[in-house]
Amino acid sequence: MRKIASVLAAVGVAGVSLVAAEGAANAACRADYACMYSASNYTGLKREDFSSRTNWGQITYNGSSVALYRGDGSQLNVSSMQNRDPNSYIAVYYNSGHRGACFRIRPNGNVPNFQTIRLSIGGDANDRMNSHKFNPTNCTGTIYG
Amino acid sequence: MKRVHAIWLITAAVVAAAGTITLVDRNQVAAAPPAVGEVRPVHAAKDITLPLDRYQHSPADLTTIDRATAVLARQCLNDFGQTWAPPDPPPVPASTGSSRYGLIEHDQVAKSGYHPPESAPQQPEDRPEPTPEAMMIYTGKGTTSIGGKRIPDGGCLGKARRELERGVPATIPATELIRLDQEMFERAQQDDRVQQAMANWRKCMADSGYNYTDVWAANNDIRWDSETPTQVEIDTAKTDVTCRQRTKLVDTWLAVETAYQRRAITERAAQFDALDRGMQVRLDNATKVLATG
Repeated sequence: MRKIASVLAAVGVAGVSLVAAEGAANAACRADYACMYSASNYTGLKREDFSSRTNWGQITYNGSSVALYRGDGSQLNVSSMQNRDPNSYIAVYYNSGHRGACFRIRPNGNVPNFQTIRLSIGGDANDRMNSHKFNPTNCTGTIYG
Repeated sequence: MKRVHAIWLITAAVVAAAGTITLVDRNQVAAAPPAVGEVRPVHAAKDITLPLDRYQHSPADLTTIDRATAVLARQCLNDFGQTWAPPDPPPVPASTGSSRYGLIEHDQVAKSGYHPPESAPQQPEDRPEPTPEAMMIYTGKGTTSIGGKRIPDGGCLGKARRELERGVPATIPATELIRLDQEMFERAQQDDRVQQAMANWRKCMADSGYNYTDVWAANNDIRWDSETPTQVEIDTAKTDVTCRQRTKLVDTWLAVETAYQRRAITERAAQFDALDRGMQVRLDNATKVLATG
């Protein structure tokens, strides 16, 4: 279970912490949050999110207008991710609405670079990542982190 | 001299041709779509199980492993004189079935269209906040030692996880499993048998006035990114599910991907055997920790 009360104050109207984009990726990912980064090793643009999201194409990195998913092969798609929820797995799905192939990141787990997962049929693992969910019940994919 | 040369050339050509044929045959065998076994009807998300699933810990096993991790991390933090300790994690929720191929169930889409089912609301939990120092020791993100005592790599959490990995044989890394999983998914989707079923689905949808390239185009339609599902979304989703059932799309997809995954596992039999053994070792380690911790 995630501690909602302590987080509410830090959450903006849309449920997203309002950290400035500049240098945001250097700030630590806070406890209970999922953090998605546009570059490997938790660098580049950053999205800090307390909630599950159904469409990364419709949400942006903090303080920017850049969506987390901008089409296959975009350099600014999510390339690394941290799960700072101590009690919840996070599933990442290749389609919106928490559907499609998926994998999981364990509590307090990190994925330093999705782009190292090269597919022999072309593309990287991060090409299609499109939604994430805390406490997933519909994903039995590999656990990472 | 000329004759010897000619014979040599003919021999070389025959050998080369034989080699070529062998290579071509091997490639064709490797690339050939695998034979599909029984095509089982998929009525619900819970009907979707794939060969790779058995190489993942069950929710019950994960709960055991996570709780053992917490026990070991607490012991480690205690060694550093910390009073904060990570609480026992809650049970990992049971599976409600796979959303791998998208929509399956009529009842669900009649209520929520393409919107994912509502999750149970999170309950606030009153747990003590760790001090920054405790969190640093727990995660290993900071100084390498404190009070003259070396902090383990990855902190107490890293140490706990390594202890549970004791005796687990080195095998397929998680990144490789993720790659394999996604690749089999893509290969199955590109397979002629699934493509034919998808073409039938496309026609079925078009007959009702919905024109989508494939099920993902319907699933990812940006009009569905609303707070609540619209009637248009629900109507589209209901037709989608009807067409999936009429064309046996998901049944075929599951059967074809099962065949691809089985082949992938067979090709890496030793690695998957090690993975299987490793899962049991990890679970045994965790069970022992909980029995003695």
